[in-house]
Amino acid sequence: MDRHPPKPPPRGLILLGIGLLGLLAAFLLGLRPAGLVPNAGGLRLARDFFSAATEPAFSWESAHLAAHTTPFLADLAHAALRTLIFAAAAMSLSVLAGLPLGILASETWWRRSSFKNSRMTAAARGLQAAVRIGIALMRSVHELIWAVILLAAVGLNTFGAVLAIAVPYSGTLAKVFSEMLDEAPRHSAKALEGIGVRPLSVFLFGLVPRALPDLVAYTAYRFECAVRSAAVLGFFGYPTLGYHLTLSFGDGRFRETWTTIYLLLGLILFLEWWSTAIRRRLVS
Amino acid sequence: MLRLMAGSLLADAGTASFGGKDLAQLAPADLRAARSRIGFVHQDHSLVPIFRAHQNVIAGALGQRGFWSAARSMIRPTVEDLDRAHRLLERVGIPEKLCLRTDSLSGGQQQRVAIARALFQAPHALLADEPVASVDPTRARAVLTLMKDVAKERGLTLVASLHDIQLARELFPRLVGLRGGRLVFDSPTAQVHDDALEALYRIDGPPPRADG
Repeated sequence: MDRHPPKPPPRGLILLGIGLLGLLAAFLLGLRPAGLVPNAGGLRLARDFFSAATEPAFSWESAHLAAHTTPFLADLAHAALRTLIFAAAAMSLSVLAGLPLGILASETWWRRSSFKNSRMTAAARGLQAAVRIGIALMRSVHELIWAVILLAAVGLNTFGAVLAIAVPYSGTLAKVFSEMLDEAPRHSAKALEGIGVRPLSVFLFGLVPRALPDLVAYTAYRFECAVRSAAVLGFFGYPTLGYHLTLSFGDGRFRETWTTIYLLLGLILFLEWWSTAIRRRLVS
Repeated sequence: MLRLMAGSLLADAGTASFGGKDLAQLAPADLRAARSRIGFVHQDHSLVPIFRAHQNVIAGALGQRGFWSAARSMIRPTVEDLDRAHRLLERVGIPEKLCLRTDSLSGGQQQRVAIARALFQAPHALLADEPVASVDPTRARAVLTLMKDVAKERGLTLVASLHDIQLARELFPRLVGLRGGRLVFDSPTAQVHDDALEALYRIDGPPPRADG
């Protein structure tokens, strides 16, 4: 380690550079504040939309729909439930795939295992790299793009929608899980190793439990994200809250749109409260 | 030196032997078996905080069990294991904590759980690295006395490294002074004079340690 007092890095220049890059990007994109001023039609639409915010609908706004379908709130509640189920199914698959992938992508797993000769270690490195590349491929494609691909491949299929969320989410969980496992405190694992415990048991009972609170808290947070993603998949016609959002907005039934937005907001807030409660219990 | 005795470090000069066998000469599986019979109490919290106290105690036997049996004893411990864990926690003075989460216990109580874990190994020797470094002075004396007593009951060799020379002199019959990896003295406590201690603690070179 260097014992000399380190010189402070030239931060001012770096900040100036970042600022200049930002200006350059804005210039290249042709960003002009004037582009944000709406025309007369746009203004009217915006006014209608935002004035509906204070009076969300509790029944269908159109008489035709009111006469021919289930009550608005029942329909909306059903969509909310389906959104939750989509998200829950996607997260279940993601944890099932993400945890083993995350373990295989971590440094700790391979270091702990008893590969002794260097040839095997090279093989381990290769396997780990392959898993990491696979994970990167899964999460470099956004769930909306997976949805488009799967929609084209299997049509408007529930399992397709669940997979569209589960594939990128597995990749993200695996990456974050592997980092959490590598950063977990090692005291317990070392203590078990010191009293002759086998590597697999050391990993499972000395290391994983130290990372577990973080793993669970992060999974709860991703569940919240999955609910948002499931709602957005409704834009493609899957029967989640997004379907209501896009239909009512397209028809100008803005009061229904706002009810849907508030419901989604309530759902997210509830999940956040829930995941905070879980975290607090685990970390205590 | 403690890690040499525990078989975590193998000697490159001299020998550390256990039950008449040189630890450095053992095959990996035999070394593991030997280690599983050397109880070790660490200075930091080497317990798993989210485990119940009994899980941490029973973890002491993981080195003597195959994988499935180890997994079972962590997830669904047998009545015999729970009974033994309970008796050991009773011996270290906290039987009522058996099923509480370890992170809900105080530092001193956690150290007692760690001692119970070492005893659960059914060890032939008990090593302790700064076992009371994170415990306040009054509790430190109680924890060390407890270790001494259980070691005597079971006829175990107890070796502990301590910074607190007063505690070491008061409680242990033999002191070993180490300074920068070299032996300064190794004699019965009564024969350790103040000038030997002074040599140990002279302020030049690396920080000293006293092994009692």
